[in-house]
Amino acid sequence: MHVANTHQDRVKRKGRRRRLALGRVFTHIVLFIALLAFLFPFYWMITSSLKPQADIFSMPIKFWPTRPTLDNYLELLGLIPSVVIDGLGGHTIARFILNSTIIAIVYTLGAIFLASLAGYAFAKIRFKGRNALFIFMLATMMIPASVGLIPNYIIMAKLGWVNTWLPLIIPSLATPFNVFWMRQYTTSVPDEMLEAAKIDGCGPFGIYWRVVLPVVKPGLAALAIFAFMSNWNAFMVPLIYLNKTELYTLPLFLGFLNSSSVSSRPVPFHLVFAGSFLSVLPILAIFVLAQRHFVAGLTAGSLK
Amino acid sequence: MGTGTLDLPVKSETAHARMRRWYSWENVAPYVFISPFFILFGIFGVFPILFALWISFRNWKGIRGGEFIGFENFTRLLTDSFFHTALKNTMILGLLYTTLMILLSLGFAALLNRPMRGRALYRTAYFLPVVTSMVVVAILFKFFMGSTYSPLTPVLGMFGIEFRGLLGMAWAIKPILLVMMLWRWVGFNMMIMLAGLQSIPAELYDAARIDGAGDVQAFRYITVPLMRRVIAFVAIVSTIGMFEMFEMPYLLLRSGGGVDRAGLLTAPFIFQQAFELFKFGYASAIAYVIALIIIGLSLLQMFASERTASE
Repeated sequence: MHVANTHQDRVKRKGRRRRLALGRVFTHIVLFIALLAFLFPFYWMITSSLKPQADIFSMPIKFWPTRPTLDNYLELLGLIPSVVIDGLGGHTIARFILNSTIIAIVYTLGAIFLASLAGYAFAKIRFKGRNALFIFMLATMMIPASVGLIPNYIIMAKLGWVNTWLPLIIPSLATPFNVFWMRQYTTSVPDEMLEAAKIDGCGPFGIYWRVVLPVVKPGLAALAIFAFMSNWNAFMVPLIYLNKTELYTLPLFLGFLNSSSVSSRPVPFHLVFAGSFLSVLPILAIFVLAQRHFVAGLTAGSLK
Repeated sequence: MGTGTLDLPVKSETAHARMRRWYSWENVAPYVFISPFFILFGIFGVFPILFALWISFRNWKGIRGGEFIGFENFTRLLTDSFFHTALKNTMILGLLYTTLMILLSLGFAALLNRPMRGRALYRTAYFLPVVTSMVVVAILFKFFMGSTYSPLTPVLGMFGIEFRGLLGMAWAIKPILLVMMLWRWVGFNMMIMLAGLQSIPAELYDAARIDGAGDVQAFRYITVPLMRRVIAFVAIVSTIGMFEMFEMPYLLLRSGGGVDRAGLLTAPFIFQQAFELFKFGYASAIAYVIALIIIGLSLLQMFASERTASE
């Protein structure tokens, strides 16, 4: 009886273990198929950027660049004669990368400065109207951005900012989420540190600059990454405000290449793939190097 | 008299001190600190919301302005079949997208929430599309779904299906948009679900196992109820996302929405009315109506999740 029981138990346990192992294999198969689905478009983009144009449009379809070449990149840089680049008034991708970089860096620096300063005031200084202002700011986050699109355009037109980079930088400096994020982060700075600095003769700005900023650096880094990425990838705002080619950002340039309606030429996919890869490259690099900050910044506030 | 002359300077000194304290840098500092943000926020964030309401009651074309026409822009919405199509498409896609998003992101999160080989790799790979620009995502999907030279051609060919690009077929446009948006955002929502799952104490599962509950039961009776808030958050963000999605449908189909307007969504529609046709008044009215729908839906979802949670 006793022996039979343990035997039964063993069989049961074995069955359970086998089921578990089977489940694990099944899990891995599902996860691996999903992995391929998420990675394949990147693989296709990169390998196609290395194919000569003819090989992108050849049958049977080539899954591997059999004749790898950097011509597509050279053409984007204007080092090879190109109808497409000529159609852009001779402006090469170097120009658009430079434009995007300048805009994104200026925006990011401005955004983290304004947000950390306001976030510090909201988190650590008592003042009249503090809560009301903060709640009001959060409440406006409910209203979708499309409501403000047209008034913003009218304001920009009146200011003479159409066809400048200012609409790509200034209005989004006032993103309530940034202040919210920095306030949450600054709240965790111990009050004793601020008190000690005050006793040492630090003024309010000194406390912010010498005590708060160094402590909230990780939060600042996450915000900087998030701000840089959203600005670097922005498409609608540049599309509305920029129609001089020399002012184009990288996404706008890619959108321009991708529109077949322009001068009824076929979409130059060999350039589109190479340009796309160049545009995601810096973001992917930051992502791989600072993955923790990245995920923190992007999924922030969701559980609060 | 003597006391009076002694009192006076003391009194004025305290008053002076009080004044100095009132105007001191310490008291003004917080307002100075928030003012750079709030000045910009006032001009480019708050004022436009009110200005848009003003514009929506006017026959406003381009930047020149227009006269007051009452509710005409809003009544016109009731008979504009393009607006109705955009709203219908967005709602159908929004419902499907939100449902599938919850299932997929929670599913992936549940699978990845236990120690296993390659977990970090899976997470990173699933998150990769989230950091990729939507312009690039749209470009890639346009090639995959729209071109005869797509890698799908040989894959489907193995099953005897001839693939010649689907972007020209009305029936295929909504599924393509759906797949594209899921592909782009699943990793984001999976991370949120993962964070939620990790906040559930492991003892609850141990206790359930001792009571004889299987994996499915534990999922149904522990995970889902405790994840209500997180699921509601994902639902709200996904629904709003469909109403605000501009880049991907625009680059795939332009603002018209493709064949039979099958991919006409609200955000590209507003863009078209505003910046291609320059009907600023009408576009503002649309934007306001959509905003009210979005706010209503998010309040509804928040309310629903609170109620089921308290039951």
